[in-house]
Amino acid sequence: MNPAELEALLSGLLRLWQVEARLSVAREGEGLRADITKAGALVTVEQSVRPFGIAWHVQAEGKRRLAYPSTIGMIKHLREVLAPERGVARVMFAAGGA
Amino acid sequence: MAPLPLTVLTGFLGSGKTTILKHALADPAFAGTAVIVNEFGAVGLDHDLLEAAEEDLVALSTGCLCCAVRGDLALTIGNLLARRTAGEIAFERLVIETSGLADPAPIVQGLALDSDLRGKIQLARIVATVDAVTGAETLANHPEARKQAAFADVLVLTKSDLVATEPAVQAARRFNASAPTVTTNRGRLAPEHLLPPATPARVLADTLELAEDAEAEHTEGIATVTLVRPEPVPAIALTLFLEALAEACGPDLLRVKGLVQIAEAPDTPAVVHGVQHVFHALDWLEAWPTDDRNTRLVFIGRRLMPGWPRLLLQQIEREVAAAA
Repeated sequence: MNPAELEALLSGLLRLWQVEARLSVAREGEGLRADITKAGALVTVEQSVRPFGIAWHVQAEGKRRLAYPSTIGMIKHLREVLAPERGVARVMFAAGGA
Repeated sequence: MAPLPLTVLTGFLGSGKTTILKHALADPAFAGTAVIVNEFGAVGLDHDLLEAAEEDLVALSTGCLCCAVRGDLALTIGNLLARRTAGEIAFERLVIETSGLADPAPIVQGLALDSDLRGKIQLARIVATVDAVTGAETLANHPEARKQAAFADVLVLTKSDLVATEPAVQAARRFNASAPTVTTNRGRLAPEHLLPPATPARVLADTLELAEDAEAEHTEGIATVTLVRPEPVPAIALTLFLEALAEACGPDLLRVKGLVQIAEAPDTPAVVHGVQHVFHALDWLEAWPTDDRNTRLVFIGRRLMPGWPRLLLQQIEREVAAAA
């Protein structure tokens, strides 16, 4: 993933969630870092490649920095921080029915 | 026993659903079809307009299917299936006419997830009527109509003998750029648009109009975004991708449908068919319908950015590859 792709991925999420925020993305060492500022509060998203695979880290201001091994985990955390009022829709698979 | 194909006929109040059904029920091609009419209100009228041949079945459900009586619908279908199994009645397919104000999503989801109906019925298509005379105005003013159009696999332009259909077609296409449009002839709809053939997955494959990978149209927040790509998708990446879509989009993801070339089975395309966050079990075609073996997916949802689903899928594929 390059900075433009990460910016597009996060921009798409902010648009989906109707979140007004400032977004900046830059390379940081071997990985990428995005700063999302919403109403003065900073949320950072980092992505890096580790020996075990791709890792995401998300940290909201004043909160612990948490690690996720998947994009899904990163999205879930970001939604809880930036758009907690949004409804959650877990994917469900109908087993051979309608 | 193969699941019975189910067609959901939806459309705004007065857009001609019952007229289509009335003509269909008089058509011999429609024999062997059980019809469930949903009327919203204490006194139903639409069923009085329908005359069923002896071999057809018309059941009535009063109340709004998408709100209060989803269980009632499942029960009605369950009763019909039980009578069919007992040999009392015979039918090969089901058609549900929704009320004009119904949201088709919870109806389809409710049936898909009903444990008693599991494996017994299968959504073949959602057909939405659009009134050529009033459709553009209705779509502009009524969110129910916009949602019905957005969910459709086929858009049926009614009353096309009265006015030019183009304004209504254009209005409907703003909310659903991928569904083909057909017109009625004085209320008559060619049976093949209402009666699904034996393989519902094939219907989807045949009606999926995707000419190119260029992406979206945005109108009032509802966008149609397409993804066409030649590279096969690992099965686990597809599952994770759908989960990520549901997580990100929530209830704003209206439809996902298409054919996917799965890396583990590239010769038999998988049919993806989802209504909001509920996906039908993957169906498989025996072969690609044409020489085009590209993965083709359509996403209809609110505030979807062009190219965003492609980016998400690429990223998840990278994670799957890195983990392997």
